[in-house]
Amino acid sequence: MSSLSLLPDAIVAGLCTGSVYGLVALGYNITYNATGVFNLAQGDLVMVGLMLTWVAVSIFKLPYLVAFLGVVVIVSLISLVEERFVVRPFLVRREANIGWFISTLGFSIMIEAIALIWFGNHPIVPIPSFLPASGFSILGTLFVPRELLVLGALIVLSVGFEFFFKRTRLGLTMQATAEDRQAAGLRGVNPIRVGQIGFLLGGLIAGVAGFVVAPLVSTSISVGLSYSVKGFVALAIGGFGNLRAGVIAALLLGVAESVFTLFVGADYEIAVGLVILLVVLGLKPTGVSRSFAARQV
Amino acid sequence: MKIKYLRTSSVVALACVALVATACSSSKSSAGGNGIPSGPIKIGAIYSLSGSFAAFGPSQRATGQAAIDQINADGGISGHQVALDVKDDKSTPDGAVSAAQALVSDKVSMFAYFGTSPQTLQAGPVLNKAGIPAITLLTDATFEDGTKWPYIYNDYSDAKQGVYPYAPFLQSKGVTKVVSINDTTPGSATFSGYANAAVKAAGIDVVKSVSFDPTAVDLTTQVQQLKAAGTDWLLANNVVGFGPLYNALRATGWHPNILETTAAYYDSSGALGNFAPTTWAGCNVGVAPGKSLPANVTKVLAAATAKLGHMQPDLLVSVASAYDALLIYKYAVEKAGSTSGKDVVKVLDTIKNQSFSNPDWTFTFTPDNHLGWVASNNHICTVTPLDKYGTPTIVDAK
Repeated sequence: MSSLSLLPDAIVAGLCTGSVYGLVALGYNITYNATGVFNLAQGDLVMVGLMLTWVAVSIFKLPYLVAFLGVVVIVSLISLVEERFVVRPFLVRREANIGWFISTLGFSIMIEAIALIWFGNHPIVPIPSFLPASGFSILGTLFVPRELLVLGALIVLSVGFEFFFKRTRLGLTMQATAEDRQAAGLRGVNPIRVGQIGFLLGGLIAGVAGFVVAPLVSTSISVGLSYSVKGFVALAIGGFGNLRAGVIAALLLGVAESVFTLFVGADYEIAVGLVILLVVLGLKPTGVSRSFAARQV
Repeated sequence: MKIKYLRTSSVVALACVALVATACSSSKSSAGGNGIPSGPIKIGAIYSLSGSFAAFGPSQRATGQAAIDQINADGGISGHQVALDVKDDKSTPDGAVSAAQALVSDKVSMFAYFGTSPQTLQAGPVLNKAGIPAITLLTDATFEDGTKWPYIYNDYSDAKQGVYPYAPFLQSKGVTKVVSINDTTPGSATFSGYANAAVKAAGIDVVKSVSFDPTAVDLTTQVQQLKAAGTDWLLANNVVGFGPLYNALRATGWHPNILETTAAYYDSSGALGNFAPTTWAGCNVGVAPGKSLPANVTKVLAAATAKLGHMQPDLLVSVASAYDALLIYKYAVEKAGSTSGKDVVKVLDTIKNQSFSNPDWTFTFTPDNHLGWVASNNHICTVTPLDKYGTPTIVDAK
C-alpha cells in the first residue's frame, strides 16, 4: 500500500485531529468575543473535562448522558470561577487591562498542578466510550465513530454559536461589549454579566470537548498545554474573533499535520502549524479573516 | 615573667591540641569503623515532586523510603540508622542543581537517586564534584564512564541494555520480520534506534518504521501503513500514546503480536483487552513462573505500595534500583569501614558478579565502567495480568 493510497485516510484522520484543535479554538473565540480576553486555560479546561469524564464513567459508573451533563456543568462552573477571580479583577481596571494574560496562564498552571496532585500518581488508564472502537470503511477510506463524534460536536457547536453571535441580541451585545466595555456600559449593558456568560459558554465548550476527546487519549493530564497551543495557532491563522475562520483553520491544521506525517514523518510535525502561521501572518498580520476595526472616538 | 608567659602559653596550646583531638575523636563512632561519623547516615535523594515529571516522583519517594525502612529494620549500616533527606528538583534543570547543592550542604553521605532524566544531567556534575557517591537508576549512558565520573554508579539497566532480550525472544517465536512504531520524544526515538538495530543484527528485518507526535489523537494512518507491510509482529517502541495506539489497532481491525517498552505498564495497559494474550514488554525485572521474589524485596514492595495507597504497575523497577543502591552502599561502607566518598568508591569499583537484594540481579563495576547492571538480567514479560504489587511475569526465563 503506497502512501498516496492512504491520503484519503490521512485527510479524514487529520479532520478528526483538527476537530480537537477546533473545539479549543472555538472556546478561545467565544470568550474573546464576549470579553476581549484569550483564556489561556482553555486547553486545560478541556483536560479537566477529560479527567472528570473518567471519574464519572469509570469511577462512579454513571450513565453516559448523566456523565456528559455533569462534566459540562462542572467545567462551566470552573470557568465561571476563573472569570470571577482570575479575569474580572483585570477587566474592571482600565489601567491594567492585559493583566489577564498572566492570570489566565497562572490559572492554567494551577489547574495542571491540582490535576497532578489528584491524578498524577496513577497510571494512565483508558476512558470508555458508548461508541464502538472499530472503524468502518466507505470507498476504501477508514472512518472511526469515536473520532467522528468529535467532528460532529465541532460542527454542531460552531453552527450554533455562529447563529448565536450573528442573529441573537445577546450575541451581538456580547461582541459589542468586548469591543468597548465602557461604551456598552453607557448603553445599559452589564459588562460583568456579559463576561460571565462568555466564560460560561467557553466552559461549556471545554466540557463537551473533554467528554468527546476522553476515549481517544486516556487519562493523560499533559494534553492541556498542547491543546492550548494548537488551538491558539489555529486561532491566529484564522483570525481572532471569527468563529468560522478559526474552526476552518483548525481543521486545515489537523489535515496538514496528518498529511505531513504520512509523507515525511512525525518528527517535525509540530513545525507544520508554526510554518503555516508564519506564512499567514507574513502575508496577512491579522490572520486570514480578521480585520481590526478602527475605534470611533 | 617571660618564662612564666611561655609556660602558660605552652599549657594553653597543649590544652587546645588536646581539645581539638578530643573533638575529632568524638566525631567518630566506634560502631562500625573509625571512618563513620556518629549518628544516622544521611542518604540524599532528588525526586521530581512537582512540575512536568511529578507523576514519577511520589512512587520513587515511597520506594526510597520503604527501602530505607527495610535497611534500618535489618540493623542499618554498621549499626548506624539511615535517614532519607529528600529534595524536589521541580522537574527543571535549575531545580535539579539547587536540590543537589542543598543536599551537598546537608552533608549527605550518598545519593540514592538524583532526579528524573533530563534533570540527572544537571545534578550529576554537582554531586560528582562534591565527591559524594551516587548509586542510582540512570537510563542514559552519560555517567557510565568511571574515569570521568568517579562518584556516579548506575545500578539499573540503561536504554541500550533494555533491548538485550528483544532478538532472542523474537527468534524463539520464529519471527523473521517486524514493523516498528515510536513517538517523537527523545527517549522513544533513542530506544527505537537501539531496538531496531538489535533485531536487525539478529537477522530480523524491520520492514517499516513510523512515528507519531506524543499529542496525536489518531494513529490510524500510521497503523494502516504498518499493517500493509505484511507482518504480524509490531515493535511498539513508544513511551507515550499507548491508548491511541490500541484505539488505532482496533479501528483498523489489525491484531498483531506486540512487543512493547516498559512504559506500557504505566500507560493504558487497561485498554489491552483482547490484545493482552499476544502482547509482551521488555520488563527488565519481573518474576519467573513458579518463582517468587526474595522476602526482603517483597517487604519493600509491600511497604512502598502501602505508602502509595494503590497498586503501581512495574513498581519492582523502582524497588530493584533503590533497594539495591542502599545494599550496595551498605556493603561498600562496611567493607571500607568509612563513609568517606574516596574510600567507598574504592570498594564499589571491585564489585564483580555480585548480587545483593536478589540472587538473579548481579552487578559488576570497574574503575572504567560504572554501569553495574548486567544486560543478561533483563527479560521480556507479559503486560497483564500483574500481581498484587504490580509485578509482571517473565516469559523468557532460561
